[in-house]
Amino acid sequence: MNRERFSVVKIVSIVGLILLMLWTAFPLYWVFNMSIQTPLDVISYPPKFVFDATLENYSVVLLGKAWLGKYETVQTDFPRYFLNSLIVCFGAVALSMLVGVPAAYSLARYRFRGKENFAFTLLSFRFAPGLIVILPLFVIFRRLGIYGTYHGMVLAYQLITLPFSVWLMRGFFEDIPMELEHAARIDGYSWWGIFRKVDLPLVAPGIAATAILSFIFAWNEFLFGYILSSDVTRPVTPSLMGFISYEQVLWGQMAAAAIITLLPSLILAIFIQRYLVRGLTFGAVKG
Amino acid sequence: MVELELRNVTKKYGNLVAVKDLSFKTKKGELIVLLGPPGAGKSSTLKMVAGIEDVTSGSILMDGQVVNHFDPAERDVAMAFETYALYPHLSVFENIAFPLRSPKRAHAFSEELVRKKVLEVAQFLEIDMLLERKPKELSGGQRQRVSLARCLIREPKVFLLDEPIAHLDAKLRHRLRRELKKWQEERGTTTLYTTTDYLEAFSVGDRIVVLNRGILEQMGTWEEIYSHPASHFVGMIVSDPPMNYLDARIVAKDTEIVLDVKGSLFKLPANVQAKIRAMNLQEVIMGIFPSKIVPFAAETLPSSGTVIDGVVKFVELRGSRKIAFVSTDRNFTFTIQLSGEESVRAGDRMRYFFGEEAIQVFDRQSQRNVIYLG
Amino acid sequence: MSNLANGMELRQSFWRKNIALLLFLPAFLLTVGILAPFGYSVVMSFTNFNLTTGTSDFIGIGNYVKLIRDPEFWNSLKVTILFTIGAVAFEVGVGFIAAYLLNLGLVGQKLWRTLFLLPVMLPPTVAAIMWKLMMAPIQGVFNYLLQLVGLPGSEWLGSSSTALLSVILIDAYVFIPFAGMIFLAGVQNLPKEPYEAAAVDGVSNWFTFRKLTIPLLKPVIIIVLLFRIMDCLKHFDIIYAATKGGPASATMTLSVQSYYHSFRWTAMGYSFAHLVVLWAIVYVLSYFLVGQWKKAVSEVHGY
Repeated sequence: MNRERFSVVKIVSIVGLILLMLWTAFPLYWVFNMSIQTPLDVISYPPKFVFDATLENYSVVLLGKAWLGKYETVQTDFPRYFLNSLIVCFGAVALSMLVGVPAAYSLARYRFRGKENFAFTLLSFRFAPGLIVILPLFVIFRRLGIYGTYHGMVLAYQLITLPFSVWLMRGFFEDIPMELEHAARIDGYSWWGIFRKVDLPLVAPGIAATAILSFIFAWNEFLFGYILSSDVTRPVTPSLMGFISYEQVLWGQMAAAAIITLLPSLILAIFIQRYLVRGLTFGAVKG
Repeated sequence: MVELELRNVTKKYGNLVAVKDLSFKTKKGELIVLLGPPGAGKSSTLKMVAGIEDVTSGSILMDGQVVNHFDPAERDVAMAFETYALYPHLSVFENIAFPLRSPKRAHAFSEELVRKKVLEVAQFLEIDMLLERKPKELSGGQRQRVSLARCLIREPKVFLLDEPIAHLDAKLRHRLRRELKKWQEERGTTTLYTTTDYLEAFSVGDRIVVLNRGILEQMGTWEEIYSHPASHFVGMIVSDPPMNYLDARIVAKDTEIVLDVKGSLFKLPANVQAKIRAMNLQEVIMGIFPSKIVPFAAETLPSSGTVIDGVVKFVELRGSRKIAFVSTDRNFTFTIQLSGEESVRAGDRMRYFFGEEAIQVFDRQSQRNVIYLG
Repeated sequence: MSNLANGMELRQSFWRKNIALLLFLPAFLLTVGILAPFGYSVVMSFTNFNLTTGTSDFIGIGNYVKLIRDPEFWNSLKVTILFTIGAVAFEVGVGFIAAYLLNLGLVGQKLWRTLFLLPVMLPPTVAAIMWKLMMAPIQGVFNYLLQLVGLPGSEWLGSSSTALLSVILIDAYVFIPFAGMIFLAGVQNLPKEPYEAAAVDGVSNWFTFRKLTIPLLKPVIIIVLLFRIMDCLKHFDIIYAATKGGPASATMTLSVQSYYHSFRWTAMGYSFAHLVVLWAIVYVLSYFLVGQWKKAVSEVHGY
């Protein structure tokens, strides 16, 4: 590496970095702009970079209050969709953690026949085309009468959250040296005592990160929510498709809805940055 | 105060045999040292006694009762791990107190008593000023002492100490050697103690078990080992500089059996001769501890033993001692231990003496001391 | 029979002996529950199951034969493969460069790294909608900006000749940070000693890059390839939100195609056949790539 302060490589690198940041930030900036523009500004051409900002779009989308000379109530289903996402995602993550933590511990500590087969099967779910599970569930759920229900969706979302949770937490448990458990056994603790006093405190940050990441993946999920929900229970990410199909003109509101939809994921992601690489690669790469 | 016994204990990890057919018995309250190089099976043995590794075959008995199937918690042993195994999320105080807070024991220890005991053992190991710190803030030596403290705070049937002072600086090590021995003797707890350092083994152990690749080479007090090392390996491991070894042949001279080393003849003690005769040995190895070869300055030759003349080839400093490599007039080279004050230089002519009983004879094929054969 | 990985022997008590299995039973049940739909799909792919009429007669490999003869299937396969190759190549290339740029120690690096990771945490459909807005041919800001610098605008998602490239661009926006962050982690985890030795030996930067960095990064590179290739092969979200597979099937990947067979033409049995083929490809490839990854990891750790 050149040690001069103003080498060509360094200048090109800085330019590269700036371009990269522009590329990353621009779409977010632009859509945010659209969300605070009036309906007229939004469709104006040339596109306006400078304008009077308004919170009207957010008001319509979130509160159902539109300014039509005076504030009137308009129909907005968005809050309901947002709430649905909260319910389904929390539920799915809770179930995955409940079931996944013991399974992860079991995979990390014990040897039993078919262990690696089971682990690989779980991993293979990550790469399978979602439709291959969703379509049968669509048919089966309707027959069972749980189509469009929250519990149906929480169960279906396990395909997304469970393999991830198990694989990631398995890694966290494996990070605890066996010797600590040996020492605790000699010190007189039972299996449950060791789990509670040694393992859990040490994996607690990992479990929290796993839960948050699972939540993000569930929140960002489209197909499961799109196909297996009714209009009443639709989560927020699939609901955005509704904005496209018929409300061609209300780009500002669509932008506002998009911004609100992506905010939870982005904010949570910043919180668990440390574990992001590990999470995205199912534990294969330790960030 | 228990009698600990291992009977034909074997431990295999897959195809690797870590411990082979190990049998020995301790006396009540005895401190047995397991001495051996890395990989000898010392840690594996301790782990099997603790119950955190299971025995591939054989039995472990405490006071005559087979404990193979007992949980570690039920065996009432305390262990200090070579790699410390400290709980990273707990303070030093909590680490040491941890055993006292286990569900079975907690009722017996009030918070005050816990505090008192932790302080007592922490002061003993000079870590009482570190009680609020976390393991990651400690040096290796400090961590080792915390691990030891966690072990010593208990009053178990058996102490299992796996190289407990290996990572401490020399001064602390010397102090702790004495004090650990005292601690153990005062409580009379049967102890298994592992080390790779033979000096430590000799100063701490009531008896020593010498292990080599999972096999018991010799068990005995240091006098027994030192006067009759059971094998070539034992001779090597308990001596620094290493034992002098020379190939030798058995010849008969008059009615006696003597060793022929490159033409020089050496007389042997009667019991050794009897063994050689009984076993009909031919090819052997002669071994002499350097510490048993002393400079000889008297005018008259002694009645028994051997006097050799030689030229010093090389002198090396080893700590406070000197080692001289002497090329004798008899075609072989000896290593001789001298005190630091002796002013010996390369080229000096010296005269040395060693007694008949200093000669160890090992069968060349089995490498074992003939005294123990047959 | 369950054993503890370190060989601990427990006293004969039912609970403690079988603790491993008990812990893992609920997850196992759920997994079996998830496998059931897979089985359903495979079985139903051998029928002419139709969603509206409700018929489902066994027709053997009829769907698969139809598949082989179906030009739309081959188009979908082609689109899927092109999409995968295009997107993965772009993402890996730019991701690698991004990792380098974000590892230089320039001012504000922590902030840049945080900003950089954001797109991969977006819901892909939201990203698609964002880009669709910006790629509007007449009023979209992209064409506006292009014209500002004298370049011609593009039809972007509206034309079958540019649609595939456009969705690749959107996918790249979302997933370049995926590749970039993982490469960055890989580079940060590189051991220092070999590089110090190379510096002492006086070898050139390019040489160390070629002979040291790339081989040591092999596991990380394979992981990125594994995840991106698998995800692109089964891709649905972005394309459906941006183009719905059009125009003129220019972006019709296998998953989207299968979706239409199920919901537009309600020929679910046929749809399942598509998915089974896709899944078979993905399963075999993932098995192969995971094997490669394990090999690469042991090579790197063996030195």
